Amino acid sequence: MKKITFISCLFLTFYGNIFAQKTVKYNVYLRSDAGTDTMWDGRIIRVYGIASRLSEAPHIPAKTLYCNEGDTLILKALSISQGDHHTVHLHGLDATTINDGDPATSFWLNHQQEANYAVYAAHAGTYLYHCHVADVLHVQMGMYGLIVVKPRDGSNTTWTGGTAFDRSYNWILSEIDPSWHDSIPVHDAVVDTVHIPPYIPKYFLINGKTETQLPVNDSTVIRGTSGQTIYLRVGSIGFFYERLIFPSWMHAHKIDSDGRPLDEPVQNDTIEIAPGERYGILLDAASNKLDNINVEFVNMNTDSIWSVQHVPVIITSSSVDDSYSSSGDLQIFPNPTESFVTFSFSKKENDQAIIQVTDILGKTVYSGNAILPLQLDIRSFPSGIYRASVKTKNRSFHASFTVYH
Amino acid sequence: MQRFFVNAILFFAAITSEAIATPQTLYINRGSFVTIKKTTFPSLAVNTTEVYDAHNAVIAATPGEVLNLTIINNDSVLHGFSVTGFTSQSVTIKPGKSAQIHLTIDKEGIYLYYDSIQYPSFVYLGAAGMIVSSKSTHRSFYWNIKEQQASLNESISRGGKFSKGNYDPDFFTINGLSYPDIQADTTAKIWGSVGDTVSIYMVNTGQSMHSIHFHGFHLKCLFSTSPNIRAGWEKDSWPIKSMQGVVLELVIDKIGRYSVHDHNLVAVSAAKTHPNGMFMIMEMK
Repeated sequence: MKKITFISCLFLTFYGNIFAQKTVKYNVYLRSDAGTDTMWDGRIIRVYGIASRLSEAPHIPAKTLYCNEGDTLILKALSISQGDHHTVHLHGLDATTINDGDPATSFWLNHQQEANYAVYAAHAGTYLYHCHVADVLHVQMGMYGLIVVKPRDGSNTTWTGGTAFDRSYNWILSEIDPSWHDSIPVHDAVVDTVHIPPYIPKYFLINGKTETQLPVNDSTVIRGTSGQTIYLRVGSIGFFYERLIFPSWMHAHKIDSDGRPLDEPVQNDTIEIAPGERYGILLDAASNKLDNINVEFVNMNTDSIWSVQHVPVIITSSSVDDSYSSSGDLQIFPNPTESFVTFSFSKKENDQAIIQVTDILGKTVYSGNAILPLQLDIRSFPSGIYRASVKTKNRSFHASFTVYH
Repeated sequence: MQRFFVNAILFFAAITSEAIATPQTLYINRGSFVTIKKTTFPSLAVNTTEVYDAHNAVIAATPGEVLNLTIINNDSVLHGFSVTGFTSQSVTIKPGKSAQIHLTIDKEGIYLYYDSIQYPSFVYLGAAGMIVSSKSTHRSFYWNIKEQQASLNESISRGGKFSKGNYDPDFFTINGLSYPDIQADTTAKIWGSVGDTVSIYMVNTGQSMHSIHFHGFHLKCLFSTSPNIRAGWEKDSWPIKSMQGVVLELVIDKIGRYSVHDHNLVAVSAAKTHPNGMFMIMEMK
């Protein structure tokens, strides 16, 4: 009996150490003094943001923060706001009033003021953090990021006791109206009051990237090996809602929202997400496929689609090599296509490629140089079969693809 | 037996303290909507008196109750009256005339009543509200959320029609009020003490989608008319599309003051001034 008790105690001590919850602390620098991001067309946009080091200029979005269920998460915030004010709102983590970062109910930080925002991470899931001072402006300017609370043991499961997955991706969706960034609306004397200009976004972002930036951004492109399960965490922080349209073969199903499991999974190829919401989506990578996830950005007032962004999905039979160190074969997808086509090597090559696309009569309809992947807008191409020629320093490839409208 | 009397007292206390009577007569009124900026524009409302009030009537029922409603058209043009789930009983009402509608509300939930003539123009002008059916004895709050574009109200009141084409609303309200005025609406301002459970009945009678985010709390959905939201879900952000409604349950587990607002942050404004729109601060004691 003594032996059993001793072993039990030993086990509990060991188990307790394995899953001992802890305090996870991040430094966050709330900056409205410096920061730019470059859009796909080369336009440089002035941004505010949340940097993780004092020497670092902010970018959209802020770094994703991680902790485990049961941890205490502390954000040590320093405001570099010049004449402005900032806070950190722990969106969805149900913080107490003092830690909520809402200037209407709690404190705000003046220039060079610092404070800790603390919250107990009670539930695994996807959350947001953003500045809540004049939030319509400071969020638009870029002061936001994701918080991921992993299961208690930090494992690759959707929540403690949830579904296991092989790979995960985090997407945060937003927009930019450059006119707000070119001529930043001035605050009134009242801290949280701002006169807002008309909102006419021009750039529609996934993890701060858009259009041709998406296929070359490792955080957005969905890669996997056939047979794997992929878990996509998505948060929306813009002023539009989004419609994610998944290839049917991925069997997309929502399994959690706003940091809580849904009572039962909802399978649908089209998933809508509105500002402030988060969803956890399980995706099947059953077999080798090259495809796109299309993300429609929809005006909240008119229900009209202002932009469709295309994110490549690359599922291969060999294990995914995230270092992209060796050369590989040319891939063209989706094929057939109606709007965009992506040229990619199965393994990344750093050499410039010369890409030429000809129609069925041999007429060149596109030519250019790029480091692949390259996403090409073919909406102006007439329906038909096209031949692509891709040449690098040492190799050349030829392949066909079909355009239909 | 003792429990029955306690429940009965709680029930009557709940419905009388919130002053939500079960109106039998409704008036379709035309009036002037006064914004938080003290500007005005033409508007419609459905009220329990013949005096225009931007706060549309909340019709409360208990499951199994038959609602016998008389609707009086207090306006100078033809109007209609329909209820979601009961559209076969829609009526049209000539100016100065009345019509009756009898609804057997057999299930708990939330329903929207609305003006079915020139749809959605008169709804857009304000003629829409909620019917709630509940056995709950919890303290209840009622949010009719909506947005308006002042110039469009002027246009429609002169005979124009609502069009979503270039819709760009500039006023965002809860029960016809913007922050901070909404803080004084006792039917909307959410409050309670630790340990309380409160119910929030919310309909979107506007034409835009609104994504309502609660600080400090996750709420449980008890009923939903929206295909995007299911009963049983627990969330902090609730996207409510046009002419949809939800019933939410909030369990108060901590004290403090917490905001609730549309997370389309442009909607937390009035006449392009932030924060004057769809925004309220809850008080938990």
